[in-house]
Amino acid sequence: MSESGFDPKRPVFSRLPQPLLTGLGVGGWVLLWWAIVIVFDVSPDFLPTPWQVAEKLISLTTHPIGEGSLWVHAGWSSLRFLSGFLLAAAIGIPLGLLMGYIRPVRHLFNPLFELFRYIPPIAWAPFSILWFGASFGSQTFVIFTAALPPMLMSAYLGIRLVDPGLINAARTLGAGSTTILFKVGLPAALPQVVAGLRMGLANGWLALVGAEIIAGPGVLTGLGYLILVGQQNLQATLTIGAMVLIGIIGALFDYGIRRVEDKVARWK
Amino acid sequence: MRYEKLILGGLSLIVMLAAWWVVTARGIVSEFLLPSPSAVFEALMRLSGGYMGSSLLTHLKASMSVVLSGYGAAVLIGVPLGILMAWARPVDIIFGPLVSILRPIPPPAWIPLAILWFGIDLTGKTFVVFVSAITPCLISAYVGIKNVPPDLISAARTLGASNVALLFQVAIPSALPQIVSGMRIALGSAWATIVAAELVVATSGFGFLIMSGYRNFEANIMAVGMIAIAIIGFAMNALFLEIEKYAIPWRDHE
Repeated sequence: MSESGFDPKRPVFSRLPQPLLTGLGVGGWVLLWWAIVIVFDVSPDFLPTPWQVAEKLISLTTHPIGEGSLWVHAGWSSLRFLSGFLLAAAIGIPLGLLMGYIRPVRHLFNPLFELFRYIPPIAWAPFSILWFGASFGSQTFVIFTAALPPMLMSAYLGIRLVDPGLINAARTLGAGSTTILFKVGLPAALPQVVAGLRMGLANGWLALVGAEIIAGPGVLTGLGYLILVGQQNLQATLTIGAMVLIGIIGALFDYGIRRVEDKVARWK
Repeated sequence: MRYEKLILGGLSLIVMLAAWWVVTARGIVSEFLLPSPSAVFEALMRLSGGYMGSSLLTHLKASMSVVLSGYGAAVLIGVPLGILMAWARPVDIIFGPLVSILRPIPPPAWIPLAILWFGIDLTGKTFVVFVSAITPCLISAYVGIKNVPPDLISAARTLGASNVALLFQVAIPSALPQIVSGMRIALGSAWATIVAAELVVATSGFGFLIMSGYRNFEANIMAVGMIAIAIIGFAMNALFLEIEKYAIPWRDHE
């Protein structure tokens, strides 16, 4: 988190470099967690120590639960997520661009999105299981419904916010409307499109976990499944371990998109 | 074309409703997979009388009380903490890492742990709602304060404002629009989370309604649950937008 320009006091430790400070802070909180477990003698079935969680994760890489080891579960979750996410991008971005660029398309689709906008994506999970079975298809659908709206909205806004001067200039120079869309509109809207991808990613990852937990024991793979098994067997180590892994993988996906965002920004 | 929006918009809604009616009434899609509009209406009538021991109003109260207590706690803790983190660097140094650790974990992932810790009753759900709502409250308060124009701060300081006056009379009012919209997003997030928690385990609430429709092969009950969730989500958002207009009259409203 960034340096503020108007801090009343500036203590000595604030001169340390930011990554070191964050690292120290994270370490401090983990130690506090550890200390609470030891001092209050908390049962590991309720709150395990960080070490016990790490041990559990390491043992899971070789000892399978459900249909496989940790790699299998992480792999399935990532695969489900990517299929829903990519499907949403493949439909949402072009549709958003078209809605921004062609007025009748906008007027046709807007009411439909307004109609479905207030249904939380996870609420689609039961219907989704009815339609696609408690497996890959239903989870992909839930992730799709979660990731689509931000991608579509950002692509739409990106096109709407293109400087009209740019479009007029291109038109004066004799560009057709297809050329304007691909050579002027799309490049100008790109940062917004990428920002939408990032929001869609966060929404989709959240929905994946929700879908895996709600689908319940019908599916024997996925990190959400591990969380659920840990709860049902009263093994907090497993539940917390899977939560940590979900956080890490989600953060890695986010980091990947942020790199793309930086590239786009620099190229602009 | 003045009426283009109205005509095309109405057209697409009518086509969708007609398609829904045709595929269900003609039996192209099974009643178990997609209920017909009349079946949904019938379920609505049945529910307002009572279903699974509770009327629609009781389900509403069940979901709402959990949302409001979890959300209320999130606002009371998240907003002041976000403001303090942005204002005082030591607070940021201490709590920033905690936020970075917890933020990447999606709220639904907390549901099983909350059940493990607090059991399946209201405490666990309130906790999950709290977790889902505190992040948007805290982040928007933090960003709002960080984005206060430095000129504003310098001007007030030149005029002799104390640090406390600077915070309460300059920074917070300037960040208020962002804080309030963060609170609105948090409410939406809290609502989505209670629905998710009720889908996993509950004995009342709209998520429970959807799940019991699912278990009893009554897709029309499921549809009523989803429609109710959407209407309430819409109403809460609309209410908040109205509040924003009154609370922040100086902001440009489209």
